[in-house]
Amino acid sequence: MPKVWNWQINREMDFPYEESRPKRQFAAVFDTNKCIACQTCTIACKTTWTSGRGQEHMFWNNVETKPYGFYPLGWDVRLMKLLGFHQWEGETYGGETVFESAPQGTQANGYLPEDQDWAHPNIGEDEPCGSVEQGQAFGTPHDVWNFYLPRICNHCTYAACITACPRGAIYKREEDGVVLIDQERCRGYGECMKACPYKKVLPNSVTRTSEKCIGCYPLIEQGYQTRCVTTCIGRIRLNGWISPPDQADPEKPMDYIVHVKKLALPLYPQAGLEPNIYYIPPVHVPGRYLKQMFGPGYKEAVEVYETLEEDQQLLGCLTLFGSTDKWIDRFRVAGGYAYGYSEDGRELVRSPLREPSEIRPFYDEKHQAYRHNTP
Amino acid sequence: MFILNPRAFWAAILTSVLLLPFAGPAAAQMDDDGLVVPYVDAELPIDPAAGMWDDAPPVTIGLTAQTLTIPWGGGHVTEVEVRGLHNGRNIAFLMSWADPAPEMDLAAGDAFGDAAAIQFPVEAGVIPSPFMGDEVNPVNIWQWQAAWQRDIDEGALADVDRVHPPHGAPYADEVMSELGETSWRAALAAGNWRAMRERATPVENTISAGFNTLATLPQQPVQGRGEWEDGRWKVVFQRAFDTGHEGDAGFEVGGETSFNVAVWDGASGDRGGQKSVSLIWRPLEIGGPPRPAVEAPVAVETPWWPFAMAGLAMIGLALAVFRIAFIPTQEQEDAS
Repeated sequence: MPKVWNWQINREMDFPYEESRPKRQFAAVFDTNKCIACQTCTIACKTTWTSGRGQEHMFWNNVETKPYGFYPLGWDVRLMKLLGFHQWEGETYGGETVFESAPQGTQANGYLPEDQDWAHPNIGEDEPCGSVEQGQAFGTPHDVWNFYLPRICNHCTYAACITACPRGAIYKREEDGVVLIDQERCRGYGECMKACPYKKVLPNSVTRTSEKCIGCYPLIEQGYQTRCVTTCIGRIRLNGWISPPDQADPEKPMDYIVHVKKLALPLYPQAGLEPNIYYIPPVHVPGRYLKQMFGPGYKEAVEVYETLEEDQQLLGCLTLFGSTDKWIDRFRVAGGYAYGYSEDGRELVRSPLREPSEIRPFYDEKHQAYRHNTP
Repeated sequence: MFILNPRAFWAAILTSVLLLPFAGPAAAQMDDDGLVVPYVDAELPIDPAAGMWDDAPPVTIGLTAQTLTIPWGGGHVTEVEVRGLHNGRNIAFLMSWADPAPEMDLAAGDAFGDAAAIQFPVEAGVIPSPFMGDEVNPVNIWQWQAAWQRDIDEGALADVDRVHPPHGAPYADEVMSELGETSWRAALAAGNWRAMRERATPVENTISAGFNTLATLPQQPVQGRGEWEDGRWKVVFQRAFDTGHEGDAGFEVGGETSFNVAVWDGASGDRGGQKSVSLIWRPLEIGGPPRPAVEAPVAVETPWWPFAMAGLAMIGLALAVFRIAFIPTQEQEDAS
């Protein structure tokens, strides 16, 4: 079996195909600290792509409460169980990926969700990890915590769904790295559903084929960001192209956040797929959980986030989240503003690092009255 | 490390050459126990329970799990009985196998239906790879699926109402307009046979040139019918001899070709490559129409001596090979 380099686990790994990266790779950064689970992204995706019969249970984008929310039921708990006990040796993953632990006669170690597992998309919503005792005070990290995890297809560099399809019906686009299922060739065998550790391929009960997030490719082909990104009312998301770390370009938002500042991390990198949705980890959650979910980079990421105010460049980059529906290729920060540019260098957006504000004195001399907010 | 000495090397070459006529791909991939498809002067039955099938000689084919291409699977159905009939215009096959738990749905994400397939070389007389054909010699595969049979029998296609029956109020059709019905169905728009809303036959006519290449043919001339009764599936496949279409298996009255079968047990999770298969081709002999009665030919006794001569010659050659390979020469003895 060929060996490929997976930078997220800092080592070579077994993969059924030779290493082949697309010309550009679709990516996004999601800031979990700002997500409030309003599900606007979920509904934006649903009304755009999955409103048909047979797609009722289908959410290409979902937001689940961690630790007890899952869609489908228990997906990541089952993934951890399949991978078994594993640990990181520094930056390097010491266990086996889903490819390396694949049972004989399969390409990836996975399981096929049962139909009922898709039936509770909002299970565990707002449930904390424990109960708050009388008189308990919060420090950081919190003893009792939860957070919201928005999820779409990770458009992985080493997509397990592609390796598992016996029909060769799933492919990764050379021009943008988006992973798509050919709806003409798909025969609904569900091997992709079984192999995907993130369970982001779903069955359509009417067409009897498998369907998944298409990265809103008709939008990105025209220079727009995806529906789930542009409709986010909390401005927690940004799309962009990501490079491998040795080719990181600090002017590109994804490269800057992920590779230069190491603020955003992949989801369950130990699965070995090199997923391309990156998460700014929640700062209030205990490290052991963050390490399991996002890998060993969590500590640095939390530190960077907590000192964000001192870093004008990074703050400026995050200011561009939700500032435009256009696809930002490059950015720069100058004079208190963050600028986003298209691939041909046009200025797409100019966003102030701080919104202009006026603080008026408590006592109004002209009207000889105190300003306060009680009527 | 074992290194062949030059004499043993040449002996191995000689042995290979001697055995070559007996080790051709056709011989390795063809079973002796073939199917004879007799001629009947009647319309062929599409009904699997029709009495006419009793007149067709059966052949029982052992099946095994598929472990040649990933994903491996199957092996839940161990044998299938095949019969054939033709009337000079159409040819029909009956496949039957034991299945205690029929599974007729495949619309839910974790449900897979029972199915059966029979495969022929597109060109009669050639022997493609038995593993779904090869690039030079494609195969024509007819696949029957229980779910498609149910679509036709019940007149109700796979739908959310059937997969997840509504509690109380039925699915509100007014929620989804005519446009809505089709605009979200990417597979249907892409022309995927599996997603079709109207189905005239439960048998899909496909072509394959090796693993991963199975494709639906534009023409769908294969009719069929499957029935489950008393723990057994019986499935009929029927097609005209000549369809005039490229990709359809060629059959000829009085001719010969070969076939291969596969069965999927949906209840065991079989689908795609996870299936029970007959690994090697079986000869398929299509009977000619009855000829006018002629006098029985006089039996000729087969002479025994040519076989004895051939046997002696083989033993002689084998001894020569053994001598060359394993008995050291004087030089070798001196050297050791």
